[in-house]
Amino acid sequence: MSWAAHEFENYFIQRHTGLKVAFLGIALGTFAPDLFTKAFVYASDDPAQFHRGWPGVGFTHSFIFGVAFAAVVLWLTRSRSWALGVLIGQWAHVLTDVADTAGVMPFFPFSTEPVTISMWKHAAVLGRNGDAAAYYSSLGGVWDAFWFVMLVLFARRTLRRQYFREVIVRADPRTWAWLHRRLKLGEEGLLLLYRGMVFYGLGRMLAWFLYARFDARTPLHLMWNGPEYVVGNDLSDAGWVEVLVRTGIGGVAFALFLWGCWHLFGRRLWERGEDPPSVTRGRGWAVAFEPHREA
Amino acid sequence: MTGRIPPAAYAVALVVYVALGVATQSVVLNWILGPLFPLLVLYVIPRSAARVFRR
Repeated sequence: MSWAAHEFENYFIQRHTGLKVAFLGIALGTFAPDLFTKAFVYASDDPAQFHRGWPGVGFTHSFIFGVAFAAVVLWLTRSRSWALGVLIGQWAHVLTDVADTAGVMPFFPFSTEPVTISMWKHAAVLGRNGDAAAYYSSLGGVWDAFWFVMLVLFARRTLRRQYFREVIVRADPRTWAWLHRRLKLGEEGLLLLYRGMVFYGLGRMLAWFLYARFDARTPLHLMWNGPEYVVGNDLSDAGWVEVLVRTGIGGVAFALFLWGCWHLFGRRLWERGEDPPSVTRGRGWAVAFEPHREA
Repeated sequence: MTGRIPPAAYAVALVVYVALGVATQSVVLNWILGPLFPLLVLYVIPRSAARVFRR
């Protein structure tokens, strides 16, 4: 699994969605796949299978889980911004987790074939500290650093006070007003809450890296499918052609399923939803994404 | 307490968080305390302390 990358990508996504999506929705979406399951993963006899496979909780790392979660959020809150944020955040998490050896089942239940590029080993079998040490001794740590660089290069504007006022709050005025009233937080406090995710991502990236080097003293193996000392745990023994065919069929079935759901109840649910006054939605990608602007 | 929190304060908080993280691992390196850490140490605790000392 990815670690701090899941925090950094929130701001990168936010940079491209602007007023159209709620940042806290994105954050909830990126947390969602691991939120209720990660603790159980470390207690499991076969963490990789339990975390990403079926039987197990691998369905949390599928696109359909994001759609279902977003639909529930839309139904409960009527907020299109939150629903889109949850959907995009959860799908980003799924795509990022393709990189470890356990992979994901993106089109579950239409395909249960794990999809992975095996860039680094899924090491939850070593416990939480061992997992962290392995991650930050492999290309996983490089992946986190890459996303931090992406944030700095292309999305640093999202961390500024002015951006918070003009975009983050305007995109989700109800939630930020509620936090202001309920928690008695001034603008400075709300800004700290907003920036908390990047703080946590950077902090844990540095802390776990130092832990791996000086406490656990795990060897640094910056090679594909590292680190070497972790036993391989690919969930599938199928060749890439078989994976491609099964995943392709699953993808087509998933698309048809979505089309059916949209016509049966999705469109009505969407039309019942509400937008803040500052949001103007276009069609296609422009429903959720804003045109490119400078960083 | 009013006024903006300077960037240096964020940097100090980060150094403290990383140090605590290396020392205690999962005690502070988790989804709850991690994102709330800057809010607690740069806002809630200083303001609460200021209120106590003003009395």
